[in-house]
Amino acid sequence: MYAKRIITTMFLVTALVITLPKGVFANGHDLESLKNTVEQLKTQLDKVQIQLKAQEEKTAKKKDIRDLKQKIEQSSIRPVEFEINDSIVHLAGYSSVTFADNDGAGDRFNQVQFSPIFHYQYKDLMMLESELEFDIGLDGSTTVALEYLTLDLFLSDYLTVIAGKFLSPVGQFRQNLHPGWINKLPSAPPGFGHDGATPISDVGLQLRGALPPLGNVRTNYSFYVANGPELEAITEDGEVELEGIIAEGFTRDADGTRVYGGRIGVLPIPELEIGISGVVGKTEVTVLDGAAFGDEPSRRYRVWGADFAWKYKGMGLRGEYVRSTIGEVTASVAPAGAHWRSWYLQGAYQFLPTKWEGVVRYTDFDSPHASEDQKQWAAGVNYLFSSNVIAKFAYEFNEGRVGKSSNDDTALLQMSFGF
Amino acid sequence: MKNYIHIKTALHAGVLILAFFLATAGAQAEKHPNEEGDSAQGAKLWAQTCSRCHNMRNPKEFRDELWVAIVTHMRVRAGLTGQDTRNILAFLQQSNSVARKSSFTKSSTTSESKGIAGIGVSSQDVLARGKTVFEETCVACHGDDGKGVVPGVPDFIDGNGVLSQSNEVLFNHIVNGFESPGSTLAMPPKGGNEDLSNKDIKDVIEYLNATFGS
Repeated sequence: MYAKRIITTMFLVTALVITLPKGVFANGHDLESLKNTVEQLKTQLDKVQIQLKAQEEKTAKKKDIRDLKQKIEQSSIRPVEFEINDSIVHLAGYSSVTFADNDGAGDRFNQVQFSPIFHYQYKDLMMLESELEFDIGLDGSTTVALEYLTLDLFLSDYLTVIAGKFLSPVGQFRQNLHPGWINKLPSAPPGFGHDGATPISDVGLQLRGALPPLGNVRTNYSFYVANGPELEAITEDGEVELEGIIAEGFTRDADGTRVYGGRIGVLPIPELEIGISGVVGKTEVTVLDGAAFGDEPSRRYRVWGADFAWKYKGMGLRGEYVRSTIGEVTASVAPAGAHWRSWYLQGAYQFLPTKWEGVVRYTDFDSPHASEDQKQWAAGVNYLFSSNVIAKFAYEFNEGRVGKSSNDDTALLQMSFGF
Repeated sequence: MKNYIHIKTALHAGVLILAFFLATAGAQAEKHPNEEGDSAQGAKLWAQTCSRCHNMRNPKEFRDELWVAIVTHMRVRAGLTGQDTRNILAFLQQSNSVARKSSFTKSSTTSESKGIAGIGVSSQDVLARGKTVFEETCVACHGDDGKGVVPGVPDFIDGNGVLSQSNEVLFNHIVNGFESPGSTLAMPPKGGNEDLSNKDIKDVIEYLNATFGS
């Protein structure tokens, strides 16, 4: 750097000497003046050089800019480890808050629900799925339930083996439609909620998947073996009768025999799915008047159901039928058999391009207890803030036994969020 | 009683044997869902399958690795094959990408000169190529008749609809993606098919105008 400066100075001085008139060197005063001038020039040149150097330090060179561009490009590319990780953790779920105005129970915020779903996946081989359900009870206490927990082993493109507590594959509502952001109405159809006509969940082993497509026709299936449900009986008017089927999954098998069930779904065209379901096995009474009860004989347990779903543009039409039957056993404390049956038909239409949606559903629920029988028309209007953030308003016209809650109409307002 | 126990055991064994049989019959090497997938097929399946149960989720809502877990969950729930799952995943992962803006989209002048130049000069070849692009990439959501099969997708037949816009607007919407007013779903950049070239897009605009335009 110094050498460059000296050479530059010498060059300037030489140029000056050459270009100056010869008379300049005529005497000592002129020489002295010239020396001063050269010194001044040298000083100025040094200053300019310093300023240039400072400027160079401040100014990005082409190489710097190129390097910076490369760094920006590299940072905008997703880290490689995101592409090759073998294990994935994902948190999903849904939540809803409901306000209900019921003819009998009055108006109140009657439901606050939070249902986180955990997914832990290892390659395309295994996935752990688990849904918890947090609810606030009437007394303010929080209840927590393990809605399902399964280990899904993907053995081939067409077969997944599922072990654990799984949602019942009978029908569509329980396994696919019950989350608030999916269900078009704020409530489940009578008979398709907890302790209704349809099984909720069970503990066992399930084979699930789809068959290779035959042209446009697709088929999916699920078959399972599980511990099965238990029965609750009550004493009424001096007689013991079956109160309900407890079908929410047990790790014990009270009657010592498994139940076998499943569903086959066929899609003759992509927009339409038709399914049939069934469960066979045995069960027994384990609860009498709210207390544990034992030494009961096992009895026949049968479920069968049918469902369909059709989607065309903004319109969705679906329906389900399910019937659960408990056989008679003379040696039982509650010898008479019983059956629960329910069906619903639902139509929904989104008024595009607006975010409004209209829903109508009719349900007919038949229980062994006449006081629980119910026919219901439900009409609702939804506003879709987005696909997964939905405000719902619905009115349920209920027809049951006069004086019973099944006869009370209900207005419902719900905010649902699926995440 | 002893016979009953044997029957029960035989049934359990049968279930296990069936599981083993099905597993080995269709067994494939352990495969990560990222490895394969046809996004065009995936778009069609996504449009046909998901909305039967729930509202369509925007592909941009989740990152690539989260979609892996979500579609795997849906494989179990919806009864999809492994290949269906990989196809849908390919579509979703392509659709959540930010559009690569080429020079021809920077300004209207530039796009007019480099991007949509040539549109309006239809030939049978152009229309045939456009039809192929439409059937491979667009038909899943827009439908054979152009009226849309997914909620929120505009009707091409509407004389005052999207096709009444200039080719330049259509071109930019396809390249960059677009969400119709009121829709809860956005068309992803290039319809979710990153492989589409500028020429493919020009051809499909020709096809749309010729087939559905007024």
